[in-house]
Amino acid sequence: MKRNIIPYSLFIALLFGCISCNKFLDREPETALTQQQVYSKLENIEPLLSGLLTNWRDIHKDRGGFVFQLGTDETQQGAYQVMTDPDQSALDKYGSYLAASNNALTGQWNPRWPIVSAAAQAVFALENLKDSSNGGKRKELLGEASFIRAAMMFELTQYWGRIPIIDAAKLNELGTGRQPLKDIYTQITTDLTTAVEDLPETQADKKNITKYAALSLLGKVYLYAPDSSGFRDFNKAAGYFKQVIDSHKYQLVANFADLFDPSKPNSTESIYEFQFNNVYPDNNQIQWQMGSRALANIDGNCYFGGYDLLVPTKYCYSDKKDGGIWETGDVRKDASIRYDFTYHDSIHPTIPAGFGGDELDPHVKKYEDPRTQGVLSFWYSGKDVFYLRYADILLNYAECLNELGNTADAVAIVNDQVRKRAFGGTLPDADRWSASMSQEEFRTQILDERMRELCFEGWRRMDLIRSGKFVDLIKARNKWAKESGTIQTYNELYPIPLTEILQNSDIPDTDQNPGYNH
Amino acid sequence: MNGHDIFDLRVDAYANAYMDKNPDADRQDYINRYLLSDSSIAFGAYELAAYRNGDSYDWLDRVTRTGFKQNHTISFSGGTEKGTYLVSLNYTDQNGLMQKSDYQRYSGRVNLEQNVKSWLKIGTHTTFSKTTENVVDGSVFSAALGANPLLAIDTTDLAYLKWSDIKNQDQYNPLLSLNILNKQYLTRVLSSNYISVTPVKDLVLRSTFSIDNMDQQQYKYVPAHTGQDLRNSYHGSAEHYKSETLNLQWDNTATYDLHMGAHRLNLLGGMSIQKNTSNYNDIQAHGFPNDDFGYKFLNGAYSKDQTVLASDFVTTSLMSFYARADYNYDQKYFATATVRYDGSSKFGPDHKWGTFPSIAVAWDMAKEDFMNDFNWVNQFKIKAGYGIAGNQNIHNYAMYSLYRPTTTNGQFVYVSDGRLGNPDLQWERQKQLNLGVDMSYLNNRLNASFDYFKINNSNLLMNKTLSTVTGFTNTVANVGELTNKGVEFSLDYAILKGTGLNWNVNFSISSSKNKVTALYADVDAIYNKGGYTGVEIQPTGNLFLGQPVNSIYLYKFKKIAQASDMDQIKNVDYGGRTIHPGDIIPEDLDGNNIIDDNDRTVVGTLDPKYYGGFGTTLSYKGWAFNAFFNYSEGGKRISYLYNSLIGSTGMSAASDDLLNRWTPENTNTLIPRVAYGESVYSYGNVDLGVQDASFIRLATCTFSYTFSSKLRPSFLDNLRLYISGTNLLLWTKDKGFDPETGDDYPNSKSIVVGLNLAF
Repeated sequence: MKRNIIPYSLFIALLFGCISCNKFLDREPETALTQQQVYSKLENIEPLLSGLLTNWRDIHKDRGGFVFQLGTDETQQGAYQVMTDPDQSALDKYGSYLAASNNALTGQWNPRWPIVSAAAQAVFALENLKDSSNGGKRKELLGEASFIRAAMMFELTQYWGRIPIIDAAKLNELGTGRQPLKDIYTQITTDLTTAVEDLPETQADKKNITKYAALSLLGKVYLYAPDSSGFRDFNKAAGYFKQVIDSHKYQLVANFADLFDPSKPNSTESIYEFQFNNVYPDNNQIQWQMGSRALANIDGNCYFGGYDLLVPTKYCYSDKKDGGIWETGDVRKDASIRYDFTYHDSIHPTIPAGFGGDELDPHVKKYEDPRTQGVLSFWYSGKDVFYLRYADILLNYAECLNELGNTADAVAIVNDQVRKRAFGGTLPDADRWSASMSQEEFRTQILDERMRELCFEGWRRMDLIRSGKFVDLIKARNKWAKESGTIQTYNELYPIPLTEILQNSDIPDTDQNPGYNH
Repeated sequence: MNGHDIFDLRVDAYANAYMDKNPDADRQDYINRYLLSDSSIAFGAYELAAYRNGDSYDWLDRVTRTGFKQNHTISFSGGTEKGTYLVSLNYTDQNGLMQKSDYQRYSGRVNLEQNVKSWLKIGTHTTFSKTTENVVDGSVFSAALGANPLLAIDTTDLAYLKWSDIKNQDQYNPLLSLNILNKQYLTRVLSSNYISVTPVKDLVLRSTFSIDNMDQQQYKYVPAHTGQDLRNSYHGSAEHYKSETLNLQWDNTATYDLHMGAHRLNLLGGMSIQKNTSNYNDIQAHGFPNDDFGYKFLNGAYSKDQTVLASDFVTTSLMSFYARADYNYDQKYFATATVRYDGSSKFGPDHKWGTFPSIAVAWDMAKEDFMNDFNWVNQFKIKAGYGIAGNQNIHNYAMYSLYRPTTTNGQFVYVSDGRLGNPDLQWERQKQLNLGVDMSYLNNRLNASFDYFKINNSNLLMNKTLSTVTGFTNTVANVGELTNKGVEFSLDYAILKGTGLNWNVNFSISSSKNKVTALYADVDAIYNKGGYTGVEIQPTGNLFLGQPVNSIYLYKFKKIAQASDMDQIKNVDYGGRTIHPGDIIPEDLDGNNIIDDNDRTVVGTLDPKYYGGFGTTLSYKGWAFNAFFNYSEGGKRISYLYNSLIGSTGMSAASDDLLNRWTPENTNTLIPRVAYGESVYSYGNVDLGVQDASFIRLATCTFSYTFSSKLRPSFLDNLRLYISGTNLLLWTKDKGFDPETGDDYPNSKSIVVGLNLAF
């Protein structure tokens, strides 16, 4: 009998194993939340949206943040960069250089969609949480999610035209195919209207979105929407801009250079700026892309060193008398562009062998971060980056007035606010725009004024597209586009990336943007 | 290429690029004025000086050496009818091929088996090992390999290597990188312990408990003066990484043996549960007042805001129930049937379990009476089998979309890891058919076997990239079907067998072919994206319907353009490239005069057509010699190293093959001309850059002498001296380091001298 105890107990153990086997095979992640956990309650949706704001910020940093600024009449890539990366150089050369397989562009398309999609999921989840005890918080989060989706889609549709619409309530109906422009702009304006209604007027945490950021963007959407969408509406745009102006919450800072002083972030002129600092992962690496290699070669911790991804075109850095844009006395010139590369008062860099040749031509200055000088690599540059700036809204508003036939008031805004500040607080009579300027003349002048005020801040490509001067101005002013001479009107839109067409069965290769389909 | 050739290559590359843009210019004048003069735009002053002095520097030679290894083993074994034992200890000490790399290992083994009672047996197989390793930073070899031969080696204060006056931020000075400390420890205990009970005759109940415990520690210190450090402004970085994996497995089986005359039936039933846990923690601290303490004193780190802390804990579990019936009649007819019921924690609630049956039969014809006249045939066993196996080898928690908190600007936020969870995941099924025959002849002196197999994998578990419009970048899915069929043949023949000269030869060959036969929905390709931007379609890792799994996807090389071709290709759109004589042109497969992704195609497969080995052993009295070769034929390989060396324009390390590059005087060549900064097709873009990875290798070769009892001291049971070499000879057309191991590490040959003693 005794010798049977062991086998019996073995069988009992076996049986016990059987009963608990399904439980034994349940293994939940111990260090992550599942999708269901995240979207099921407000306390989790809030940090999720906060994460989306971070992701949105992060696509504006480093090399990727400036891909759309390549190939404009304002900026072009440095000569050494053009020689070393064919896909990137295609963004300045256009024509058949620019193809659906362009990886630099795919690298911009791909990270944007997960943000759109997660924002759409959040909108859907928040609408289903109507019974939530914290109605105020729910509303604010809904406004924020709507804003994120709208901001991303606005940028995507400006550059790629017809794009998919992500609405978690209508996933099966919409699929992942390209939608008509009318539907896209309907979605964007609806989202922004929700955001305007639901978001607070101010936010203590500057990372969060305010009602006025939503109003500003809504105005921009009506101004920048292509005619073919049926949404371009100067009246509506002016109305939204006016609400921002009349709120008196914003004003231009007196000294233009203060806008780019790292010790003065989130000024009264800032409607929304991306929050960065000098500590990874919250640094922005932008100076690494903007600075001069000639300085990087001398000292890796020189705050104006870098690798010449993006440099101003000759048109953008030259004085008016030399065929450029700058007028004597305009303080924005030296605050925006670096002309002098003398280091430590005594080192005069030269262009070493093997370089591209333009390393000591004028460079972008707006992203220089003197806090890194001598202690940190310029890779740690981390000043805030403007998204919506009051001066931009004023200029946009003036444009609307001009388009609505009120050129005199438009000129007044430009003179009395933007240009007055640009000339140090007093605008010399010689530099005043004439109130009797024609509507067409204003259109031409405002494009240059926007470059002087807003250069390198990311609006130039859209400004060129909506003004219809994309091909002419880029061909005349961008060194590489001029050299290749291949830019055409169809280049106003980028090609839908090849990998998207290959992997998204709702976008067949026949649905490529015109000009890119062979 | 040495310094002199690199110099000439760069001159040619600059001059060609200049002439492309200025076709009417005076080439020699440009060279003299802009390239060779002291104010050269192409060469730094140090390069001009090295060239004029005829200097060339071999960086790789400075960081490598001849390694040395010693290995000692001592073991004891014995037993009585009550039990047996084996105890052994081993010590290995090795200095690696790279300067400052070394490796030590202590290991031990204990095997015990004891008959406690007539019906009760216990036993253990336990091994223990402790490894200590100094690992050289991975950049040392690649940087030294890619170093500029015109750059003097004794520039230890140069953080980055340079070409011309361009410091390459990605090419750290390998001599400085040798100062990076990277110490790794690995402790492993593997122990399998059983208790076996025989309650009645022929019934055995056995319970086995196994533990596999692995503890890993890695300590790293990057000193303040290295490029790795300067680039990140860390002022010294220390890292402690510790991980533990623990796999526990408990198997319980009951077997019953049934004999009835010539019938023999063995029945087995059992269950197994397995739990695998792993965890790690990682601490990275930056900013040290000096480099003196290395990684040992984290307290000293002052850049607290740059500190990185990380950890994770993962548990997976598996459970199986199985039964097997094993039958044979007189060792003549054989049949085996099994069924497994496996559950895995990696699948969702409705898909955890899979059932996997198999059956096999065999017939040894040599045992039949009608074969009695053929007594030189010892075995002629015909086998057939069919079964289904399961695979659950995927990322943990792939059924969930996961979100993790991370901090930014002092707040915590939730961020998706990009993977779309797939709750419908299920077991991959592998249906396998085997046919074969095992043969033995001439008193088992000649053994041969032949096997055919056909495997059909369905519900293939794959990581697939997604259109990001879905909101995610990738997902794990059961995506399709794959067939793999092949044959294997092996032969072993003792040509001479006796007390004098013994001679044995062996040979084996295998050949298999696989094909993707289905993907999901109407999709005919799944792409592998990667590269610098992470979004480029890679040459390998894609799945194409109707093609082998390991296909290579590139443009087909058409020819090197000649002056006479210019007229014909002037209307072809080469994606913005301007083709000049001497440039590579790809085939326009769809004939639309536009070279784009539609012209990429499968140009080969990484898998060999056939492979195997052959060898021989010769022995005479105490002398013995053996040699073994392995071979592979028909496989392709992409050598990123060679493609980089052959794509050089004199601004990076270059292959000597570029001496035969296209020039107006040397047009009959497959090496394109060089042009600095021009966009042209490179070796890596077309199938010219695909290596023929076929090879024959003398893998091992040993010569030994065993002293006979008369010659050795009487207290020794065995005394053997040997010299043995591995990887001594290699025949291949592959241009990289090694067709089998790739290009990441120097290919090593080794020679071992050894002594075996037994008491």
